[in-house]
Amino acid sequence: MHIAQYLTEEHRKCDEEFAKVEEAVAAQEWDKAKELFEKFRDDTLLHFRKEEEVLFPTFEETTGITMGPTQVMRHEHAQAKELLSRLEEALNAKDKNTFMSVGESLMILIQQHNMKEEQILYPMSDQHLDSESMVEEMSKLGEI
Amino acid sequence: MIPKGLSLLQAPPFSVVAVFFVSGLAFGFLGFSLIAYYLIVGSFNLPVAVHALTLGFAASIMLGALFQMLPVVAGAVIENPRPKAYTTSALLSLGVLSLMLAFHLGDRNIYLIALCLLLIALLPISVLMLYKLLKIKSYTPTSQGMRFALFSFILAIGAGALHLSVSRGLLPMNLPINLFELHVGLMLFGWVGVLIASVAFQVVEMFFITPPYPKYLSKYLPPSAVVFTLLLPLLGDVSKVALALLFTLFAIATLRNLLRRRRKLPDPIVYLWIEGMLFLLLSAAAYLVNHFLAFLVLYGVFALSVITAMLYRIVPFLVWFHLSNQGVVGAPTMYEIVPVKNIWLNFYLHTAASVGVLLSVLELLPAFAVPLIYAASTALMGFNLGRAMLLYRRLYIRV
Ligand SMILES: [Fe+2]
Ligand SMILES: [Fe+2]
Repeated sequence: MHIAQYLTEEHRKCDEEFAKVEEAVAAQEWDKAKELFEKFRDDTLLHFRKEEEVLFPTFEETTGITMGPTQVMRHEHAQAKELLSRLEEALNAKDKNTFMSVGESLMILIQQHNMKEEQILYPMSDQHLDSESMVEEMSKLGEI
Repeated sequence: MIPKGLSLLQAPPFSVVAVFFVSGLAFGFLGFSLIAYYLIVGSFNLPVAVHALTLGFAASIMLGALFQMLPVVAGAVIENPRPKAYTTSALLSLGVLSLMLAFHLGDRNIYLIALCLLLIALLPISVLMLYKLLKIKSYTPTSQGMRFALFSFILAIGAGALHLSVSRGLLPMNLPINLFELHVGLMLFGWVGVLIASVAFQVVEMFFITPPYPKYLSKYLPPSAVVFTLLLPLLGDVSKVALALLFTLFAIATLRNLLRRRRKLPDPIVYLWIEGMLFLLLSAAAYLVNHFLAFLVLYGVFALSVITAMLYRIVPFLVWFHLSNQGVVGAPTMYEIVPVKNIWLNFYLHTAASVGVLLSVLELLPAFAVPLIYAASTALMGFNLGRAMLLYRRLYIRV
């Protein structure tokens, strides 16, 4: 399997999970929202780990590009994590408006982030790295 | 090879985008107020009003958006964007004002001044942007479409300038083809239509979590739209039908995607997109039956709806994004920057005006009411987005 296909599918799954969280929050079904959110958060963080612990280091080692795209991706992961913790606070406070506001920023951040990965970073990785063994390494961390 | 477009530093400073948006909104308000005035006093100067909205409003905002999207979306970096953006924006504003004055007075010298200002404002930057886009190796339907849009824009400026020079007697010559038709076609379809479509190919899927556009559309719409527009003087009705068909397909594909979106919550931004697509369909019908004025107005509502939707997504996001990059802890997010109820209010105002367009055609509403509501809607947009920009300035950490 290609790295691009494997990780892009994870993006799609997380997108769908977030849409469900939003619906539950909008309906003020807080218990359900919390459960769905935790799944979304854990899956997103797992996806970030696969990139940060497996894909990015190998990419940097193989291509010699260390200060380029992977650095930006790490930075955006950090921004996303900050928003995720703000979302959790909003959920705990049952604050629908803040949740929707932070959620919208997170969605745009993640979407433009994913777009850059899917259009540039993943295809480059498939080109330069051994796709099969990378996917195997990443799935060892768990599946979404 | 280091892929471009992935560095944070390549996202232009917020002020680059902001100058274009602010002056664009000011011209939007001016344009709609002027149309209301014309309709009230009963004498209409179409070129004056149209250029306030197309050049002053739409082109300004679209250029601002390109400054942002070229590096971030297409990976084409414009070095040192600040002075380029400021001069372009200032010259464009002066140029549009002079052009409006020239159309109003019919004065030859003012025509000359307007032409010079506008050519200097628009040609260098659009040629530079096109050049940067042509240089990138890997391209997506979006960056490919942007190339065609900028190519059309450059030709349309040329056609407009030449047509004006000849028709106002600035250049003593005769033109073999109808440059006016080309100017209008290239501006509306090649520039506005293709740019909106190209951006939609990327952002509709991103913002609302929808299925992707069909490949045949995202790949072939931009070149086909430009080619059929260029062939308008030659093919006439064949070109017209092809163009109407292309944009109808685009509108239907967009509506279909939006109806299948994963994020189903009521959202004024989605509704603005849907409204825009419905008006695009109506405008295609008006175009086919050769009702130029109806086509122009309906197509304008399409563009205005989409531009409004885009501004309300992009500006608050950029405010958060830039503040967060500067290390502002707990930077305000989307609806903390522009409250969602303000966006709803703007959506209702905009929609009231758009429905008003249809009612005034049926003579159920006095026509002057429509531009008045649009002027109010634009003013509200200026207020909401202006406040967002001021918030940014207040929280911005000077380094
Ligand atoms: Fe990532
Ligand atoms: Fe990713």
